[in-house]
Amino acid sequence: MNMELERKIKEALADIESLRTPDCLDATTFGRYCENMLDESERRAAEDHLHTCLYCLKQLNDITELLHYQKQRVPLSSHLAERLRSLKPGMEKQQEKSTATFLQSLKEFFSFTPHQWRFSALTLASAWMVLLVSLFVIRHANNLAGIPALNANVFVKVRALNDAGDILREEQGVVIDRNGLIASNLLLLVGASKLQITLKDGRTFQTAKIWKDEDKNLAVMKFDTTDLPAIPTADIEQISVGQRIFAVNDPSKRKKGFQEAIVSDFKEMSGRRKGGSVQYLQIATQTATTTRGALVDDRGRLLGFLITQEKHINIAAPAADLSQMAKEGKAIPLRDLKNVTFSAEALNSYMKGILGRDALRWDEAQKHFEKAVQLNPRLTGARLELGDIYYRKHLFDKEAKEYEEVLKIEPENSEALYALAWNLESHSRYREAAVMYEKALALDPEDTDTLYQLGLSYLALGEKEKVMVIYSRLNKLEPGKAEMLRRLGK
Amino acid sequence: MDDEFLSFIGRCISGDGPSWDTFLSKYGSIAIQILNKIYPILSPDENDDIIQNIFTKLTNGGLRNFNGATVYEFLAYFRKIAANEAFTWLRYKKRREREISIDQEPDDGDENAPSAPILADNTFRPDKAAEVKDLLARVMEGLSIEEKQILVYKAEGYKDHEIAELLGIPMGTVASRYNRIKAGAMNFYVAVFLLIILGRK
Repeated sequence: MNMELERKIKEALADIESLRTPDCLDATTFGRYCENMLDESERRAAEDHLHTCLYCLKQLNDITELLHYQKQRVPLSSHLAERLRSLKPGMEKQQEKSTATFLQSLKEFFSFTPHQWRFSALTLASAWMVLLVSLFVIRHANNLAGIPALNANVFVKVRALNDAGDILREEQGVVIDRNGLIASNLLLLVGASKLQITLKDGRTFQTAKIWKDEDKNLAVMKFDTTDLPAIPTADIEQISVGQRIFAVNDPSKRKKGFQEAIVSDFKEMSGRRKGGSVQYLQIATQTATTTRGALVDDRGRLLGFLITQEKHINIAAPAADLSQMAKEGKAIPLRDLKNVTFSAEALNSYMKGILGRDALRWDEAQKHFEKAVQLNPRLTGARLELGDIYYRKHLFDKEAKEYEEVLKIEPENSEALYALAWNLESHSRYREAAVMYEKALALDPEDTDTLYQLGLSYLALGEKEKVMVIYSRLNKLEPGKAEMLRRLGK
Repeated sequence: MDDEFLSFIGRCISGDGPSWDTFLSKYGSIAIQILNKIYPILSPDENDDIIQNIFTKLTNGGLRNFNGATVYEFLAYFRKIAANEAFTWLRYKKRREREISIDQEPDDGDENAPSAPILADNTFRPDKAAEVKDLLARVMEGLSIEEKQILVYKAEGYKDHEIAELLGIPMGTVASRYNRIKAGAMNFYVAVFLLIILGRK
């Protein structure tokens, strides 16, 4: 019986917290009860509750025990007392925790050995930081250094309008002469019946005269005005392969408006007369976007205009000939713009042909040039190149045909005249050849090659007096060739 | 007296040296006695470690979080913290031992781990409360508060001399009262037994 009673109480005590009721008394009441500090009514109420509540009995026992402990004195061991006393400073000055404790925790954070996670975390974080910073620096150093300061007024808006006055295209042009010469791509003007120029300051002009070069995708316009801000032109002789240049899309946007590029090659005339002046610049860009617009060097001087609009390699026409074109060339009336045949595809094929030609891949180059001529029959440059390739392949009839086509388009093309004359000469048609040479010579009186060849033709025809005249002319210009002619004459 | 106690605790929090020393000597001794009572098997060194943990806990916000008003409430609070810290410390000790002894056979869980006296499920269960109330009403009827206390102490495993010390009565009194309770209970069960038999007849 006794055991059963005890077992029941033990069971109840093991889960004592579940016996707690909302009416249960608090520790203060128990403490006062033990120390006889309650008055009569409170005491009776407490006892009434205690009689029925095991939880409160247990609490009463605990408090009784604790009060008993409080009266006892068990001394702490001396070293423990010392340790506990040193805890005190941590409690005081809770307010000043911010700086001193923060520094302390920082110090603790950075005192670690390599195998702790903090080491790897910090290493990774710093590596990332270094990477990001260096990428940032490299990017900006490359992009911003050397972008020339340009006079934004030099770039003007050129609008091509149709009959009804709607805008067909709007591109940028560049003022190359202060007397109103503006250069831009020919592509812009094709099919237009009216041209309109808007300067940055709001002035608007209509075109007076136009010159065009279809091989180079160039157009020069003349306006009746003076006192425009003009861009200086770079001397092509001072440009070297590998030089950094910029393609300008929008000069007002410092970062987006400029595209970095380098000059990767000069393209000259090949064929019968190698060398000569630079015809084309080959431009390489890093970006995969289409490049277009005017090219300036790092001093802000105009270098040329991009002909093609490819992604990485492009061909540009040098700007040096532009003002010469306006001076020497024949202006076309505005209405002729409608008849201008223009094909960007043809120019791209032409460019690929030039690249193939320089790589001595004649078949490939021939294919590209033929395609270019097919797309735009008025591309005289492509026809000349094609004639040269036919000459190399001994297809003399085809060669002569190409030159004749060129002469139909441009009767005064000295290259075509010279090459056709040579072709006729090789077919023993000396009389016709001599006429061609004379025409070419009329265009460029100091061309020694033409003089020499003309001399040979007259020699073959047996006209000694004419040969002597040519000999004396050649002797002044190039004595070596004159001597060769004299020996052949003997 | 309560105001005095609260201001004493306040001085301890603000880092008053003499108050802290008083607090240490007073409650250090209480902590030792509590630990001896709950876990009598621990060595003095282990006791020291646990006591240090208890006071660290108190300095790291334990004192600040105390929201009672009287010394008794603080005593109950202190006992709770002490029991919790001791339990935590023993659990970590157990884990450390298990980690170190790789080549030994693994234990089957925490069988030997000391039970947590304070961390019990403290949801209020009215059915159980009613049952226990009934038990007390029937079995402990006619007993005084002191006798009931003796009964509970006994059930918790206290020795006679400890109970005598706690309640401040002679040891002989404890023994005789306990016997009287037992006899009373016996009488009750005998009475029930007789009633059942008589009822049958």
